Amino acid sequence: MGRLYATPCVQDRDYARFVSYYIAHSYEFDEQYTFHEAVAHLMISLQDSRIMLFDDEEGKLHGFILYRYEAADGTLFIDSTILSPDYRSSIVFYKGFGDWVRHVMMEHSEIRQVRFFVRADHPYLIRLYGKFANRIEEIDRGGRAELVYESAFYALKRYLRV
Amino acid sequence: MYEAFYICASEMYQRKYMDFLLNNYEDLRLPYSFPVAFRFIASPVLLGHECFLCVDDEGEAVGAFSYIHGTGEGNYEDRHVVQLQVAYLTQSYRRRTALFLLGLHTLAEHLSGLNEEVTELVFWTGTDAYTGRLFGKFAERTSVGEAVIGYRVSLSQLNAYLSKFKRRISV
Repeated sequence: MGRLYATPCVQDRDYARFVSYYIAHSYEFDEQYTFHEAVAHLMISLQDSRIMLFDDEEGKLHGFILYRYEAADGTLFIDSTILSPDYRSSIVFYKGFGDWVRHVMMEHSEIRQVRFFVRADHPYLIRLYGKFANRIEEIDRGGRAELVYESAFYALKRYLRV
Repeated sequence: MYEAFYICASEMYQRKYMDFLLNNYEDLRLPYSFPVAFRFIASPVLLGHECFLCVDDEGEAVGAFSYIHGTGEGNYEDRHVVQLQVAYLTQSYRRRTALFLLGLHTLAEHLSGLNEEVTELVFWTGTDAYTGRLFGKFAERTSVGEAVIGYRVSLSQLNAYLSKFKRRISV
């Protein structure tokens, strides 16, 4: 397992390969998440969201963070994120997440908090997010119970040593 | 070489349709932002309207097209008008007249056989001279823009045009 390189999704060919990857790996969110739901979510999200891609040394995509910023209250929402199983390690997570934080700091000067969603029945991610964020809410999204976590941006930066 | 057009009747083929167009996205040269272009590509899948793949004799996709019923101007209530969303052949399969005619025939035959009436087909193309000559043979220009030209053709006109090439369209 090598390292991954963070690249903001800007060019059309990046969007195209992101969409291919998202559709191919969307079952990782939920086994019940259908192909048509994935396509519909992309149609809605692509217009207003930004994407950070994580490629290996050969330029093959192994993960992404799909996020959006709401200026009204300085909140960054991470709508979804996937990392290929081969790269799921603490080192890759911290480095990739840190790269993303450094990038969004350049995009927005007034980030106050970061919120993200996790399936209520995903113990691994719940344990992971609990290390640096607080559970603030449980919601129903598309018939699935999800937990909403929030971290103050300064606290997240401190945790990631950014 | 033998190619054929197939309707993407199952999720597996709809995925193949999406993958094919995404893998060839830059060559599509759609004059829109990616989010807008993706809507063109994906809406037939979501709306349950039809997507078609052209496959070679090894089962590899070499082309695709798709449509929806209704137009934006008609608030998608004018379902008798079919709007072609995307149509693409990989480079080595372009300028093959018989294949182009087969694709048109596949679409026309499909639309003629639907339970609901379709009377007209609308679509947009690039502005190059070759494309203009090609589509001008059977369709009427409705708009001319910087990046795209709009066309319309009635289904009866399209069928009449294709009837001239019955022998060339080997189905």
